[in-house]
Amino acid sequence: MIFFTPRFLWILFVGVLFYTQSFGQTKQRFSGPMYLGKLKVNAQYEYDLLKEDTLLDGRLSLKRFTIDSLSLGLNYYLSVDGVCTEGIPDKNWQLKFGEFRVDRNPQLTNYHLQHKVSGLYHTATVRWQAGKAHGSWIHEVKKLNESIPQKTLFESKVNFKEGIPVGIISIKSHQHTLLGRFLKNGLAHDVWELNFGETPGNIEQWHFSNGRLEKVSIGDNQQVNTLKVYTNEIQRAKNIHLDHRYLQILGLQNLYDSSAYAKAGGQIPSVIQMHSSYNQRVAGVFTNLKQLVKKVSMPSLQVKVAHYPLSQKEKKQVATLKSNYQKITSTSQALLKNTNLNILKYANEEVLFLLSTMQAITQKHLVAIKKVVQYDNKDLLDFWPRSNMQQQLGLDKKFSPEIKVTYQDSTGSKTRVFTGPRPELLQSDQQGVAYLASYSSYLLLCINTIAENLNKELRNKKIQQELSELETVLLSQINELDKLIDSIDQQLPTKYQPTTQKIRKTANTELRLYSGNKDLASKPTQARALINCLKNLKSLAISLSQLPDRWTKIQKLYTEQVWNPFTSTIMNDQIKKRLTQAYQELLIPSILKSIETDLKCANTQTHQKALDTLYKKMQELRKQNTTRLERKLRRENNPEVVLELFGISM
Amino acid sequence: MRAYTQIEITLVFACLLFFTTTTQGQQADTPEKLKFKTPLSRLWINTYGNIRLSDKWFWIAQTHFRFQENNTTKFAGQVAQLYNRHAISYFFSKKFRASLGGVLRLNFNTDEVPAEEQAMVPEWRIWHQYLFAVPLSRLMVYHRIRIEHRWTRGFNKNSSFIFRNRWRYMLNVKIPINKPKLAPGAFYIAPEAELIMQSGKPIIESPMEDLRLHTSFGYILKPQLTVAAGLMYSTGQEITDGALYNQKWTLRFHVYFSPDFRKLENRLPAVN
Repeated sequence: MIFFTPRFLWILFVGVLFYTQSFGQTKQRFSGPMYLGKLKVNAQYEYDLLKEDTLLDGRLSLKRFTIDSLSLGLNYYLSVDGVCTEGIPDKNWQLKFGEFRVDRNPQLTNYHLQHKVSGLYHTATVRWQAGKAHGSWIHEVKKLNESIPQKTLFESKVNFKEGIPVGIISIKSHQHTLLGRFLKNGLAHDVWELNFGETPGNIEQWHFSNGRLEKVSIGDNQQVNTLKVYTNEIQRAKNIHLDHRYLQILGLQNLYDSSAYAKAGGQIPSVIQMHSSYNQRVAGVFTNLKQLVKKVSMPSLQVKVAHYPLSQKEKKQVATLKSNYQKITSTSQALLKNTNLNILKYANEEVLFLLSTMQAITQKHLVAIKKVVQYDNKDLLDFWPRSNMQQQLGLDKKFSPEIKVTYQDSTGSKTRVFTGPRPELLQSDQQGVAYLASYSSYLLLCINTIAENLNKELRNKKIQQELSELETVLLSQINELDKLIDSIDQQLPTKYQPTTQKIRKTANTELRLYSGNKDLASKPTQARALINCLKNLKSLAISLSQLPDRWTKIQKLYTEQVWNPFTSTIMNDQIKKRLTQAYQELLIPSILKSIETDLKCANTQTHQKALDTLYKKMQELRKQNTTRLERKLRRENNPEVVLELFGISM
Repeated sequence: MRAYTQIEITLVFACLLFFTTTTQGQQADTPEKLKFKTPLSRLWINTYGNIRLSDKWFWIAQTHFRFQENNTTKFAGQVAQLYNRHAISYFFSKKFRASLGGVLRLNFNTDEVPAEEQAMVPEWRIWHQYLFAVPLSRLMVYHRIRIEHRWTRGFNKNSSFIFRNRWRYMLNVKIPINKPKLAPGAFYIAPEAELIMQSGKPIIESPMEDLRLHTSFGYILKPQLTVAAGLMYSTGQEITDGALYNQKWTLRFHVYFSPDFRKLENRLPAVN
C-alpha cells in the first residue's frame, strides 16, 4: 500500500490546502484613490467581478481628510468602514464626518507633528441586513475644542427591523429630547413628546394615531394650546417619511396655524429635521457608492398625509410652468446684469422703465411661480389641495395684466404701466395649476416682450456706437477731401476746376443722402459704403492733381534730342505725337468730361483707374512699336474707340 | 578737337593770303571811276536738304529755283537758274562740319536769244565747305567757308567752258526771337553777310564777284523742318569791267528739311 505512506498523505494535505486557497483568490482587493461623488477619497475594498460589474464583497474602508493648516476655513473629514456581501451592505457600518478648523500652532511630540482640531464630529453607526436597516441606527454629533470633546450636540437612536422602525425613537438635540413610538408597521403612533430639559414646564406633544397626526399640544404649565391637524380619518392617505417635508405638507394643507405654532416655540420639527439631515448624510454616502453597492432602501420613519396626486394634464401644466420659470429667470438675469443696459438706462428712459418692469416681475410677480417650482422640486405638489393654491400664493384675486412700475429717473419718481401681450391669459376662469401655468405664461410673454425691446435698444445703441465711430471717420475723410480739393484748385490750372468741383459736389451729395436716411439699421452699411466712396474720391482727386506732372513726364518721355544740321544745335523733338496728342487732347479731356457729367460713387474707381492706367499705358507705349496704333489714331477721333485702341476699358 | 581747330586756322589763313594777293593785282590797273548798274530784282525759292545717313554722315541736297525780272515783271519775270547742289557732309563736332560735293546749275539766257546763242547752258562745279558754329549767349554765330571750282561757258553756241575758283566766306547769325534758344516753335532773325571772291585765268580786274547782305526771318516748325524768308542785297564786279558793279535785290524763300529715316531706336543716344 504504497499510496498511504506518510509522505503521500503529507503531499495530499498540502495540495488540498493550496487548492482551497485558490478559491479565495477570486476575490480581489483594491487600494487607491477613487471618487465618492465629487470627493476624492482613499479607498480599500474587496470586490468580485461579476461580468463587467464590480461588486463589493468584504470590507470597505474610505478615508478623506484635507488639511490645510494655513487655512482659516473648514477642513472636512470623512471615514467610512463597513462590510458588503455580494454588493449589498451588511452588518455594522460606521461613518464619521468631521468639520474642523485646524489649530495653527502645531506641537512636536514624540517625533510627531500634532495639530489640534476644533469643530463638529458626527459618528453614524448603522446596521444592515441584506441591504435593509436592521438593528439600531445611532447618530452622535460632538463638539470638539482643541481636540477635546466638549459636549454632545445631537444624539439619536432608532431600532429597525428589516427596514421598518420599531419600538421607541429617541432624539436628543441640545437640551431637547424627543421620545416617540412606532407601530409594527413602522408608522408613528401614540404621543410623541419633547422633553425640554432645563425648562421642564414646557410641553410639546404630537399625537399620532396609526401614522396620522391628530393634534399638536404645545404650551407650558399654565396654558397648553391644542392645534388640531387630521381630526378625521384621511380620505386618500399616503405614507411619507417623517422629515422636514412633513410639516410643509401640513402647512400646505392648511391643517394648522404654522405661525401660532412657531410663536408657541414648537421644536419637534427642528429636531426631526436635524435627525433627517444626518440620515440624509448617511444616505448620500450609499448613493455615491452606487457603482459598487446595489441599491439600498434607506429606512424611513413613516407618517400619513392626505394625498392629492397631480393629473397628467396638471403634470404637463407644471412642466410648462417650470419651463416658463427657467426661461424667465435666465432671460431676466442676463438682461438685468447686462452692463450696457445698466449704463444705457441712465440715458434712455425707456430702458430704465423696461428694466424696472423686469425687476418688478422677477422680484414680485415671479415669487409665486418660484414657490411652486420649489414645491415641485421637493415633490410637495402631490400633497397640495388645489383649492388652497392661489390663496396661499397670494393670487386668490385675479391678477391684473397691467404691471404698475415706479422708477426713479433724473427728474424724480415716475409711475408707468406695462401691459404684456395676450392679457386674456389672466382673464380666464382657470383655477389651481392651470391658472398658475397661464400666469407663468403671461409673465414669460411680458419678459420676452421686454427682452425684445431691450435688445432692440441695445442694437440701436450698438448701431449708434458703430455709427459714431464711422461718422468720425467720415468727417475726417470729408475734411481731408475738402482740403485736398482746395489745394488742388490752387495748384492746377483753372480748366481742372469743373472736375474737382464735381468731386466735391459728389461727396456732398452722398453725405446729404446719408444724413437724410432715417433708417438706423441700414445706416452702418451706408456709412461704410460712403467711407469707401470718399476714399475713392480722394484717390481720384490725387490722380487729377497728378495730371500736369504726368503730362510733363510724358512729354519728357516722348521727347528725343535731335541734331539740327541747319542750326547746329540739339533740339528736343516730340516723337509719337499722335499718341501724346491722343492722351492730352482727346482721352484726358474725355475722362474729365465723363467725371464732370457722370461721377458717382459707383464709377469713381473706374474713372480713377482709367486715369492711372492710361498714364501707365503711355509709359509702356514709349518703348513699343506703335506704328500701327499711330496709323489707326490718324483716322480716329472717338475717345471711346481710342481708349479701346489703347487697351483700356471704362 | 585740336585737329579741327588746326584745319580752321589753316583755311582762314589761306583765305587771307588769297585776298592779299588779289588786292595786290588790283593795284596795277586801278579803274578811273566806279559805276553801279541799275539794281536787278530777283526771286529765289530754295530748298535745303540735310538727309541723315548715319550718326556722322549727311547727304546734302539743295535745289534752288532762281527767277529774275523781265521787262514786264519784277522779281519773278523769268527763270534765271535752276540749281542742284549735292554733297556728302561729315559731322566732326557740334561746332564743325565739312562737306564735299558737286553742283549742276542750269543758266537760262535772260536776254533775247539770238540765233547763235543757246537758251540754256549748264555750269559744273566741285565744291567743298567748312562750317564753324559758335554758340554765343542765346545766339548762334556761323562762319562758312565755301570753295567752289567751277566750269562755266557763255550762251554762244561756240563758247567753251572756262574754269574759275570761287572763294566764299559767310558770317551768319541766328537770333531766336520768341524763345531763349533756337528750338521748335522759335521765330528767329538771321542777318548774314557773304563775300564771294573769284580767281582764275579770266579774272583780271574783277575778283569780287559778289557781296551779299541778307537778312531772313525764319520759323522752326520742328527740328526737321524750318522755313524762312528774307531780302538780300548783293553787289559785285562785272567780269568784263571791274569798275562796273552790278546790284541785285533778291527776295529769298527757304525751306530747310532734314529727314532721318533711321529707326527710332537706332537714333539713341542723341548726337554728342
